Amino acid sequence: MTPPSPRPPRPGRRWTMAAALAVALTATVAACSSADTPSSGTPGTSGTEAAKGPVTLQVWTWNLKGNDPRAKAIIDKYHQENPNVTIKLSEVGGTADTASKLLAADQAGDTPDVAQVEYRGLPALVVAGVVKDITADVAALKSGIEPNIWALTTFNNQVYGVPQDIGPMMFTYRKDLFDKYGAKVPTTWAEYAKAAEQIHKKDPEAYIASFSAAQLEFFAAQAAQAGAQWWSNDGKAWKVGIDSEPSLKTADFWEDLVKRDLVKVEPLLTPEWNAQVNDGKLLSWAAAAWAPNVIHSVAPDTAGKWESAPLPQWTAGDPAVPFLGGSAFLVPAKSKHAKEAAAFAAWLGASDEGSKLQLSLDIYPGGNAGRQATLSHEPPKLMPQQKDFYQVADQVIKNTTIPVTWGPNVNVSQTAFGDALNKAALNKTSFREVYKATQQAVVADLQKSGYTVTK
Amino acid sequence: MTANPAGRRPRLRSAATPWLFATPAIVLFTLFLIIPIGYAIYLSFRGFRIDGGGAFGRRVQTFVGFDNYLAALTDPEYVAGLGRVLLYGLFSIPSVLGLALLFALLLDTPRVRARGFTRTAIFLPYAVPGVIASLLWGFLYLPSTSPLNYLAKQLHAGPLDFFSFPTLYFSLANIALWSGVGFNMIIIFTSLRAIPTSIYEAARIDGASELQIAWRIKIPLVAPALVLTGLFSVIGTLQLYSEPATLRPMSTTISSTWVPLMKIYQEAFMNDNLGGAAAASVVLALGILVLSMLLLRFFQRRTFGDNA
Amino acid sequence: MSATLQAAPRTGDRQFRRRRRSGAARRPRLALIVLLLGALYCLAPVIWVVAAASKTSRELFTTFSFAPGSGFFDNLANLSAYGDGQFWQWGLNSLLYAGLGAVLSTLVSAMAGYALAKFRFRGSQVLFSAILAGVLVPGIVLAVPQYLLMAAVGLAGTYWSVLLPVIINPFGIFLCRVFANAAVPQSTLEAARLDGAGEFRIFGTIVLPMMTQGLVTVFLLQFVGIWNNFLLPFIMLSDQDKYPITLGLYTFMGKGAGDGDLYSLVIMGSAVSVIPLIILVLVLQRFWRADLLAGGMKG
Repeated sequence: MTPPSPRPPRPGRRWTMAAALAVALTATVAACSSADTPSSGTPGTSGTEAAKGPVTLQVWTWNLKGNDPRAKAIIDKYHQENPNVTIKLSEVGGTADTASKLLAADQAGDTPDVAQVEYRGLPALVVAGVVKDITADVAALKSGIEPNIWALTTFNNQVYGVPQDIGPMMFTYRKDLFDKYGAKVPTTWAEYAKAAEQIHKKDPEAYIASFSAAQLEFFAAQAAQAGAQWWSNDGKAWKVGIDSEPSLKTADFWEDLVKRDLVKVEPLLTPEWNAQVNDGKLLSWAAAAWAPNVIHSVAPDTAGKWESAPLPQWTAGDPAVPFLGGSAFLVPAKSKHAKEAAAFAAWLGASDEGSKLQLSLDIYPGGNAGRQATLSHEPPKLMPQQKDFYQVADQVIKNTTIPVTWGPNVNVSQTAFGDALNKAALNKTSFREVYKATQQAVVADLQKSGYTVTK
Repeated sequence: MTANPAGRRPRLRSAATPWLFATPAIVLFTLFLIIPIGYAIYLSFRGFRIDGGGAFGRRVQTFVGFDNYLAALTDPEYVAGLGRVLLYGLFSIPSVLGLALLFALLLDTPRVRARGFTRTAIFLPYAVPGVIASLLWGFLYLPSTSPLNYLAKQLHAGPLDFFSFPTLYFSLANIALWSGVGFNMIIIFTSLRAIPTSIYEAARIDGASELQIAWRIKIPLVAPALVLTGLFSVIGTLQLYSEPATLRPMSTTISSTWVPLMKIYQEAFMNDNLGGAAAASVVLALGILVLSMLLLRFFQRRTFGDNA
Repeated sequence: MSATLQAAPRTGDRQFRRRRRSGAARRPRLALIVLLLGALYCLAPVIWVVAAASKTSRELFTTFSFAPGSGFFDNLANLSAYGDGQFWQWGLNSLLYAGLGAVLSTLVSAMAGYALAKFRFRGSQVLFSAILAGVLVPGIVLAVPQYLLMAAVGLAGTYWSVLLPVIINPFGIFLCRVFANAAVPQSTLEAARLDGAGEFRIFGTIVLPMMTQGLVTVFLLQFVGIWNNFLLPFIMLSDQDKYPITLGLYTFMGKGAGDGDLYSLVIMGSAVSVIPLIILVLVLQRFWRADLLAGGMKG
């Protein structure tokens, strides 16, 4: 009865109906919401060619907080140098939140132009087809970051993100209390166990550290220190080494400490953990160079009593460690301004100017110039007295020679591993079994998805 | 009788009128519930598989038949989650309803003082968002911030662990109790007020105690309200999410898939497995549907048996 | 049922007399004590939030839970200063989402509930059952499809993407149907129709006023529901200026490595965000008629 529609066919009838409703609504929206910011582009137009007119880049990040004056200074600076480009910052949550939002946004064709993600979350996004290959876009600034850091975002020789901050592994501890209890700062994990014993003997309420099963990345890094690779690939097939013997030995180590009640089974950064750190009942945190700022935010009163040292080792004198934590900026495949987005990510991460500015955010820059700048920078607020903090950290970066590859299904293992390890720690059952079960779950999941897994 | 032509108009009108009134609801219901539910069911038969080999082969969505349903039903964590929710419900539902009934009956006692204040006070937690309520109780449970633990310490008792195995269920049920008792109390109380007093005037004149009146007259009369609140409690219990999810980062005993909805959230938002999440949700929704129908049928026969 | 009720006092005659003397005088005092204990139990955590909101982050972990701290105004100032007063922007957004959303939702529910209660039409039973079944579906699964839908029509990320989905409230429709049944007599409608009043006029001038008490209930429930909603705005919005309070508070709980935690801000924010809800409950409480819920089983 109605005249034939001049409009091109739509994907489905329900969308047509929805669209009809939307047309009616948008009229109303336009009428009463003038607060809407101009969007980065009309939904219909796409293409990665450099735009002629002004461009607004939507950036999802937790490093640069929307109205933090320090972050503002950085994006203002960029706008000054690139008057065509305006940056709009948004904090949508941490890695997991950002990743899940990004996946949904990709499906909807509504992605931002730049998104921050922790290194271990990147492969999953790459295989989901959400991330753009920006190898060519960043080629010019390649020399701004060391190859061992680029390796964190490079898969099969293609670059999927620009490293921003990095986590050289360090052991941050209460210098005053280690001295008081006569505990030696451990250089090996065996010494760590001895120090744990010593501390707990002197003060039964104090522990060398908490044991947090949710820290999958830490356990993976520890296994890597021992020579195990939890994930690895030859470009064609995946290999999973969570139950390899070196990895299982690290499981034994923690099982022993937990069974002897030398570490406190307690998640990180809970009100409880914070209180214990404040009270001087948790004396250290084996993590990375970003840890001091985290500790300072929960226990500012303890500043001046801490120091950081290189991480303990399995073999005395072997300095090699992997990176722990840190994050990169990726460009979503469906970004409408991919060129400008990649340019911004590269500027902040790899250019001299950008990576130096990152230092103002209390994060550890991955770019060479930023790293160089740390050497003359004041130590973190947690240890104003440890003047050589950044020298120690820089040496650790030089020793960060163990590459860690993250598989496309880290999330699956993260929950399975954390839950099971918590249970084992509470029930004092075998940690080895947890590692073995995780191995099976990870392999099964990879196979279910259709990947080839080799022994 | 002269209004014969006019009489036709109302009839004509009334055929279309209800639909006109219902149109906004139907349109919105279709857009935001039917279509998403349909899409979720569609998703429940789909999953990601790798296209083109290699270690970084791209994932593409394909039809996977009943794989997701099979995975949900054979996943020990999902099934265990259902078990935990039921166990939790065994603590929480009777305690919420029982206490709500008790408070309602007490409020309905003649000559009791401070009725307005206590009623408002007990209802107030309803206004506190679930996440904030959990966060707040979390602080009250943690050894270093708990007032109970503070008192225990003063008395030289050991630290109390609110998150250890059986206690955890009570700790969680307590949050539900705190948030839910007032709402349910108001429902029961108002239906108590709706009972004509003449019904128990006679008993009172006969010298019946308030306890007797409550037990023999009031409770049977508010039974329909109890069934209704019970039913919503069951639905709410099976959809338990924000309490354990908020407390999880604070404790080692709550796993990331502790209840079915946490598992569903995990699959949908963390593991990028919308298909699996959709299948698990369909299973859960059907379970809730069947359980509600069974409960309704059972109680309907008992509470309305005489009338129906 | 009425037969058994009348019989009840007689069969228990003797016991009733025995208890008479002790019962009547003492019971209310015991009742009062139990009620006061209940009130204390319900108020204590609220008091705790206020006490905790007044503490510096140091005092939070070191002083007795209910002891007031010294940082109340500092915390409030920090909260206000956070991101150039962004917190208050979030508060306004929450008011917009919850206020406008609940008003629209109540209106839509009232119309649908009235249609279902007061008209006999083909398909009404099916419609009602379908709407009721909507209560059973957990919102977690619907969030992503709803988002994809919103994105398909270009509304994702706008105020509308959070407002529109919350307007439909199956439970509200259910309540309105029950209440229309109970509060609107068929004879009134017939009389108005005989007078020649139009259906929408009848609804606006006769039905709505009669249903006021029930509508207040539906409004309150939906307001609290939207205010507390987290997942929908999380998935729909990416512009921080449009966040509601719940989502804003969530970003306070810094997740990324190197991020400080902001417990004292979170607690202050929680305390502040609960206040409008408490005021709303206190103001609307006199309209509070939950007996329409109780009537649901009969209707």
